Amino acid sequence: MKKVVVLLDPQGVQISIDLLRVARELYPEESYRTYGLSVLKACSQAQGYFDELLVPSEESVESFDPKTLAQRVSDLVRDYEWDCILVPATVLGRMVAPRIAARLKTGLVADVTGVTGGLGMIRPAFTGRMLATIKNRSSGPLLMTVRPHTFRYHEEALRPTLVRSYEINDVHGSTKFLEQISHPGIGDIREGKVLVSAGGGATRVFPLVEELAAELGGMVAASRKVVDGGIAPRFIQVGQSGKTVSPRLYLAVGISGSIQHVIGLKNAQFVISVNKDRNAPICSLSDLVVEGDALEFLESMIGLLRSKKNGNN
Amino acid sequence: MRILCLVKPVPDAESFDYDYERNVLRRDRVRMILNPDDTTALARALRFKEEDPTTYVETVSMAPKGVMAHLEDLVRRGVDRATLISDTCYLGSDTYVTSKVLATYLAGASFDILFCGTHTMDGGTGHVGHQIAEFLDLPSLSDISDIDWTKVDQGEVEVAVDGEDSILRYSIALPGVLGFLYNPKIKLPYLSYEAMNEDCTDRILVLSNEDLNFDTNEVGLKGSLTWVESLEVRTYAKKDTQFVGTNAEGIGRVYQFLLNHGLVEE
Repeated sequence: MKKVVVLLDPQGVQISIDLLRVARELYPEESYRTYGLSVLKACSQAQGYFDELLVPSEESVESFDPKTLAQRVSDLVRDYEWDCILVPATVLGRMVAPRIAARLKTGLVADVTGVTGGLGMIRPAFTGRMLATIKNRSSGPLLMTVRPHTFRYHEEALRPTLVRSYEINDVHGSTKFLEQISHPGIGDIREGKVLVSAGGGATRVFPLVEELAAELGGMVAASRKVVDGGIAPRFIQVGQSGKTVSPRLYLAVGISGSIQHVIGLKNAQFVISVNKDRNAPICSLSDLVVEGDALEFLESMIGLLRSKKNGNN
Repeated sequence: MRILCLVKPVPDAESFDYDYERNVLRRDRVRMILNPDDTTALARALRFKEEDPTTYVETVSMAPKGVMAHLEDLVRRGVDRATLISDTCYLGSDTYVTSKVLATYLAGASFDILFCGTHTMDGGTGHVGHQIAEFLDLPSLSDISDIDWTKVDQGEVEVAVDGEDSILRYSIALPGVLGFLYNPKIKLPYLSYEAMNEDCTDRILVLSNEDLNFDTNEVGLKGSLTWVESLEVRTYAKKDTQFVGTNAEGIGRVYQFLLNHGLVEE
């Protein structure tokens, strides 16, 4: 029987649970046992999904340090002899996984978006223009970081879960976690059903993009250009170096649709784009294209939605 | 203060040229640029050097010799030395081997901080900085959007890491490995007119496997722990797109679309 462990990121427990879907696709014909590994705190919401849940004997935010966490995971790998280690490609996961790979002398594949039954790991290459299928030829466990929201695990939490505590033998490193600065009012765009997203053609009208999102009961997202320009925070960036989103509606304002951006649109059901250039790459992926100026569109659309709400047709 | 900075020339994503008939990338037609995240990291190092001219800044690259012009450009912009690790036996190395080769050089180099970019445009794995740190038993952080040097004289720096939905602030004791995110506002220094034709060959060090002495079975494709089984061009399904304008009729069509699909309520 194969043994698969999922690293539980406390900032994305559901994202981590979704990785059980990867295990199923990797081992379609074999039986396997699943382990949820909490590296920082208990993550009790993972109970019912895994056969075993491993929790640290003490919680410590000081250990929010890739070096310490990699050591913690590697020590457990030696005890449990896992065949496969699945790590969500969150900020923390992408810092810890390379160090685990180096410690275990095993191959690591990053940002996996698909797997094959023959233990192939599929990931975007050349800024998303190509898809590479990569295999691990080391004798160590299969190790990958998986792009959040590219796999979904829909089963209910009904599995009897054995909760085990493990001892922490950290040698405290030289990295000290000081504080977390949250941005109140900004939700997780990966959960958004309606996203109004601003691109380079909407940098000057970003407040109106926010207004339209509010009128539609949706959330604001942005392309890399807008984030790099300091207009929007990185948490709302869609694309290869941002997040993968699966909204019902993606309304792209002033976004050309570079391959690095559209790679972040996973199963967006409807796409409406607003662009001056009808040949922009995003247009061919759109259901509806508003050809024209972003400011004109935003003012008119917000005006129409408000008048409908007020009952003025 | 000695800052070493990993820099990598990468194919410019905008100049991607694929031969769809032969199913190969036309590498000779691809323009090379310095990886954007690495550029920000190096620019931050050179900014620090501007404030404290006793600072030594060295770039370290593992790449084919064809990148020499890029390295010369960096030296002319104020880098004290560019080290290029280049050998045909390293071709095809995965991130594990690349990190091992770079770590072997760095183990013998003296530095207070190793800077690098968080992502590269080509591979985009973000592994190398952290794996080097693991091989050298150093702390590491990536996704850094800001650095505070106030306590550097006490042997530590504070950094801001862009987390999933918040900023995480850390202090990290030196030496350590720091991976930065691209920030277009932090640019490399301008190239002065005098420096443009400056002979800088004595500030570029080229090392080969004769210097690092790896068994050729440990590096390149042969030594890699991962291998690419197949590579295919990604295609996106095109939709039956409808076009409208920004006039009242066009906006009305958008509203009707939203209404028809239950995205607004009547």
